[in-house]
Amino acid sequence: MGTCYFFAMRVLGGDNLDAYAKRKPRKRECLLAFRALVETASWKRTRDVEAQFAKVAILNPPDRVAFDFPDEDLRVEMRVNCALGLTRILSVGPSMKRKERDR
Amino acid sequence: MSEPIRPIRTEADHAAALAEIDVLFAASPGSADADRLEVLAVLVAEYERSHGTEMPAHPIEVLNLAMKAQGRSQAELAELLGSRSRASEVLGRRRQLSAAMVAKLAQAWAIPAALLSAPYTVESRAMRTLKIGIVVLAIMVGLSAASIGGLYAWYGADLPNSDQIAATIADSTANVPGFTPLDELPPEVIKAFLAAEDEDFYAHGGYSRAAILRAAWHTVSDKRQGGSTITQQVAKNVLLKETPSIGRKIKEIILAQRLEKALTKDRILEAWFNVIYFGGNEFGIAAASEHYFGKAPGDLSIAEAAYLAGLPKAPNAYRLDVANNQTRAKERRDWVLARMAADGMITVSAAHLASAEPLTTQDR
Repeated sequence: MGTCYFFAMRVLGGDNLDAYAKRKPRKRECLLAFRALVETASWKRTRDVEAQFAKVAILNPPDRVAFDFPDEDLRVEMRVNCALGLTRILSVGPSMKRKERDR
Repeated sequence: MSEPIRPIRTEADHAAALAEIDVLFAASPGSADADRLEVLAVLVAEYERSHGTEMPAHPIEVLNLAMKAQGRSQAELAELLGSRSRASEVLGRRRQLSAAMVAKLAQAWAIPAALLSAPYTVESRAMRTLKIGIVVLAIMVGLSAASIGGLYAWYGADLPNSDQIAATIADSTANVPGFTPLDELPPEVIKAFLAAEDEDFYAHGGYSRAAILRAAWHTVSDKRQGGSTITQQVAKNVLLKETPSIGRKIKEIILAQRLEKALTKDRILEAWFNVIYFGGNEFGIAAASEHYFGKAPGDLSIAEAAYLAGLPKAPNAYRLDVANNQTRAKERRDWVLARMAADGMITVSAAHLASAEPLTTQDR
């Protein structure tokens, strides 16, 4: 996750978001907002992801990031290639932080 | 040498392209892998765009999520927007984000202005007020229902059940001198009493909400008016011995409902005809018929039946044998006849003919 040159990210594997929104219609608005924030992000380096999603981003080098929103009970895991301006959605599911908090 | 890149037309193509993207994902810019990844990414993005559900994100959801992502509180938003109410209204989607607010949010928190500028509707004050009204109304209805349920449980606990009611009614009517079965009463007599006392008798379930509300209103406005159905009157006269009160009225309604379950409508009406008070210490249609006209109920004319039907409401006000009630009694009789005609129980001409009859009771 080195230096990036693009200022907007492309989302690949967005069908994961659509599929989850179909299963959980109440999460649709949140997923749309999340996607919009990612697509308009200008991540040049890993630090930028952390800066924009400081409270919810969990980095897993070299290129994996999990975004965990306990209040929304939502977790999105993706790979990020800042240099090419690419994100690849790997999975969408319920928040693990929330699970831990509720335990 | 790698496979040539093909267009993505099917889900299988899409899955295969994603699988290859996963392998190439860490490619460095400028490499052959990065070039291939770039082309695959364009094809996948286009396929997903054309097969996905593209909807704009709601600006407030974006703001909300961005705040969560950055650990921002509503108090911080209030500080940025200038007031707590403004922040609360914005987050509650009751207020549009103004251009100035969007600019502040974009500058201070780096939330893309384009996402916050998308149009969206806010709830009008009238709609909010309506919603609050509906909620308040629902709560009131819920509380009323709970209260009514509580009153029913409280007052109904010591009252007889349907079987006990049926037995009590049977005992009470068995001891009535000159008991008159319903099928011995001419239809006009039955119609006259229904017109005067309870025209919806065969339709209601023991009590009439409208009649109770009307009676309650008249009581509040100090103009007392009975709201009891025939079933309630049977319950009151046979099953309750208490002095009038709100509590007795509630018990009366509970008993009326149980009575309707215990007996058929005809049996309830029969019981009523045989226990109802007609003044002059006369109870029951047979005694009243004999007392006022010296005849059996089966021999009553329409006019006589209408007169008797007008008595139970206030016997002493319409009795001809104790006071100078002639005018009032005739008005009452004629009112019953008019009701019968209006309800289609008798013809208008029959009502006119009966009204023309002099109102006389036998000398005693």
